[in-house]
Amino acid sequence: MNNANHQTFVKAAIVAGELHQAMMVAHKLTITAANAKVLSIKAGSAAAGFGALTQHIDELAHNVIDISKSVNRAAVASSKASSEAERTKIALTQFSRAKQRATDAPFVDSFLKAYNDTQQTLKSLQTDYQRELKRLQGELEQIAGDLRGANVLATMSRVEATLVSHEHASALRDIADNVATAADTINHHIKQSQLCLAS
Amino acid sequence: MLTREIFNSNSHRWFVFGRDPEKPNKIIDTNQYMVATANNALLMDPGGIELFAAMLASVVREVPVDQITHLFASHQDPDIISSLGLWDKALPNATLHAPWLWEGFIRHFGMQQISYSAIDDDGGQLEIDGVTLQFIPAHYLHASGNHHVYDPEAKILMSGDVGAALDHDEAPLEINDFDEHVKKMTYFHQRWMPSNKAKNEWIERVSQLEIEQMCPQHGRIFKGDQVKRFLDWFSDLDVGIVGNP
Repeated sequence: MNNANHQTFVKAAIVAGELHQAMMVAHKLTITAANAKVLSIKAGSAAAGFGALTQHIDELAHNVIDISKSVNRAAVASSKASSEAERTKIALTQFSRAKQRATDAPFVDSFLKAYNDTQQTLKSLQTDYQRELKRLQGELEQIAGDLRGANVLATMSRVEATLVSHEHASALRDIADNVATAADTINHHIKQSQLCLAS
Repeated sequence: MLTREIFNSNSHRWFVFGRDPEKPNKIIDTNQYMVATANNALLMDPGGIELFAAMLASVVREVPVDQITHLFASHQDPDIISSLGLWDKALPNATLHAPWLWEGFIRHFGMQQISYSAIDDDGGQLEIDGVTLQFIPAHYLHASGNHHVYDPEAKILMSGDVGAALDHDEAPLEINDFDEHVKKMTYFHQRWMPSNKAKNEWIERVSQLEIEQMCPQHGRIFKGDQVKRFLDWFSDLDVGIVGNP
């Protein structure tokens, strides 16, 4: 994906889209966690360790969902501030063109206040955008941190799966794989978001 | 952009703006109108985004921008009012008068400072510094919610798309040869005007008005006898026809 030429408001919208995808995967992860819990109960005492891990998987999924929602809000706010800034820039360009064309007009100074006010609005919008962008980057970093924990969870789940009976081991291994795959997919969307913002 | 004063009295002046030589290609040429009273001004069908800078530059040759306290949009088309979002940044205290039907649509062009005054289907009037202007219903000519502006003192009817002609960009503002001009109007009216019933009702309505100048949003201004000739021609024309230009 090459976002280098995208306008800032497009980038923020892309991040919102990526985070939406990540959230969908996290929702599936909550179902995986619920299935894991049921399976660990069925597998009995040998799967006690796995049972404890299911709680962590569920917490991780909910964390990702909560932060994704927050990041999505930040991305939308950022996109809105940025697109409003772009519209304001267009107005400033048009004012400048009008000024150039009306240098000898008797009332040319009458729109200078509007021009100055619009410049102030632009500065304010750019400040808003930078603030939202910073928040966005911070929250993306937080999800990335949580996901590092997901890989540890998947590995531990695989280890725990080896301790249960053959009958349940395969299902628990599948769950561990699902956690790993979900974490990789979410990670991919987060990295895309970070790359997009950095480009 | 060409600016022409088309009426001047003690109470107010009418201006037409158009024929901008720097207009980008492939966008239809438009006429914008302004009534300037003692302390205020009404800008009618102020035009599209592409014309904003030229319009603002032309307007401040005649009045200070903060005197533009009223805007009018005959309907919702982009060549009529897509510049609204830019005027919104230039006019902190203006009111836009436009058909009630289009409020939710026109606001898409961007309106944070300008307020919307919805015109009823039956029309209405606006008084500015003692000058009374009437909003004349022109529904389905061509938009389903559509008004024109009539000035009984100046005897001017700003007729939106009615009387419009597809002319070349440097065309004069006056009609020199009515019969020749008809060729430039026929397709426009047949294709863009959807209803013979609406057309006939409008003709009936404006025939009651004393009109010395009929000012369309595209093409040229009708003066004197040309107004009646137009109404007769329009009355005979079948509209709502898809055909080749």
